[in-house]
Amino acid sequence: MPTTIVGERSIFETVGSSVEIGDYKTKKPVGATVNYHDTRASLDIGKDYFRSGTVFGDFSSASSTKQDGVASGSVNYKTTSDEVVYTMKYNTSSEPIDTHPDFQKFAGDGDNPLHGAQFEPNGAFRKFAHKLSKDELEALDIDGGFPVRNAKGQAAAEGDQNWFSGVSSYLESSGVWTKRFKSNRTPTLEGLGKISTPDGYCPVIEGRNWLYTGFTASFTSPAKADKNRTIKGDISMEWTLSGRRGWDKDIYGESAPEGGEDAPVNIRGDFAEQREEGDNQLKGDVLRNGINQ
Amino acid sequence: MAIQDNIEFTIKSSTINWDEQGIASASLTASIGKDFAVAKALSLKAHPEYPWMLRTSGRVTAQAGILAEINLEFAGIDPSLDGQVTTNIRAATSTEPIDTHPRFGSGIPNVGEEGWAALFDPQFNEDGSFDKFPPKLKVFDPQENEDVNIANPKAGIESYLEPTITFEQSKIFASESKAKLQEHCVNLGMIDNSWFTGEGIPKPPTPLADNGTPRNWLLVSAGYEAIGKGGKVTKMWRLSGRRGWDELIYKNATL
Repeated sequence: MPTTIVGERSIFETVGSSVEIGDYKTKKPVGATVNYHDTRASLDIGKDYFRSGTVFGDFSSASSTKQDGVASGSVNYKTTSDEVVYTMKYNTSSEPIDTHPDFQKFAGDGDNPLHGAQFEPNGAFRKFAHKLSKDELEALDIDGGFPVRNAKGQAAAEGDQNWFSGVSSYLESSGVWTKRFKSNRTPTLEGLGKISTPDGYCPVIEGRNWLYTGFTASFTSPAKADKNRTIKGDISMEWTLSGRRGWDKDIYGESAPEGGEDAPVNIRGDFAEQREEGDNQLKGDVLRNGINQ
Repeated sequence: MAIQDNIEFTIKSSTINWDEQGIASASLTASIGKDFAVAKALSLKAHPEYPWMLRTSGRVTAQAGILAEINLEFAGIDPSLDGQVTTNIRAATSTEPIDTHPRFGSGIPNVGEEGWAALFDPQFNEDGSFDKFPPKLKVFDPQENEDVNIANPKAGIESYLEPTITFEQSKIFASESKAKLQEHCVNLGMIDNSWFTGEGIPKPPTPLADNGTPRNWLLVSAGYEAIGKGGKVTKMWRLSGRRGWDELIYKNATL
């Protein structure tokens, strides 16, 4: 514990301050918590501590308590790491059974229905019959590897309940590939809603491809008294894996890998005038040694 | 050395917390003579050390003897962080009817402005609305020299994924009246471009519309929250489609 004497004019980076170290890929600290005690007479609780960040990151939050003439508290700084993080999440969705890639193999079509499949006059699938008729059992020869079964999974006899009775949908597997990173550029809208290939060694599955389906970009502008803040946004881009037939190129079209180039936004350049104004307002402020360096 | 049963107003502890946006909350604990406690607590409209923080709640608790304890909560926006803007751009996809696809076309072969749909025998209802793509498609087989039926690649397709882009900003004002804060929200429901600009604030990504001019943005959400002597304004815009937002339906506040 620090040995702080009430009334003494001094600053301490106290026991308990910590620096966060990331995983094996990170070369720099990813954050920090700096504890302090301040016993100066002209005490202004912790106000300076969040102003300029540290080498460990940008200001995130602060807490300060003043009691008996001593201010103590902590300031949290978060990472400015440029690490790119990729995530793959698989899921399933319910799809109409007649959109199954092998539908024709087990249900036939309007001219040659299989397994009790019933079709509208225009050829659209309606449903599977509840019971199997003699005709449907005789269609075994053209079944192509899908034996006609009853509801118990046994070889079907005339009048048995259909194995496919009530089947109107199936679970189609899909997935979302997410890329998270920091940047001072916003993602382009050019490739949004188009077929493209994300980077980062995404899964490559035969017959399937990727659709660039969305992103989020979050930016926080520097405050007047936090001019050293890193101007970078948190970007998260998402690609959705297609079904077994791939995304339709007529409907979605294709774009360059990664959805195209980022929007060329030079944040500092675009707002140089405002930055100069902000610098002028900061003149006279003294940033503290020890904490800020 | 504290004097026992001192009835003067004495701050025993004071705590303040800042969040990343510069919004601060504080609590203060003080002791005072029981007879003056409520009046003193009510008189503390602002934090005694940070006048930019206003009281949000408080409690006076009677203690043994002649003393009472005052607990007060304050909130405000640190003037050092005045004007900070947080921007969020979100792009997502929503399911739309397939016949609203920009390259669907008329659906009728050999008609001007032909899109891809006409190649897949789309069927229409009596009122002219799109019905479906049939399961079978007739195509000419040059080897057989006749039309043959094949599985329609577009059979069952009723919808597609259309991108939707929103641009959201929130800005904090350390000292601003409610009347001024609400002025930021007056264009709600209109075509609008009153986004906040400054260092570290990205511009909204705005692709071109069909007529070659940039698409426009509709202010779909706007509001403010009074905090301390200022507040936080939050606004959200939605990007138009390729034809822009209709100026007959939505008033154009950019003119």
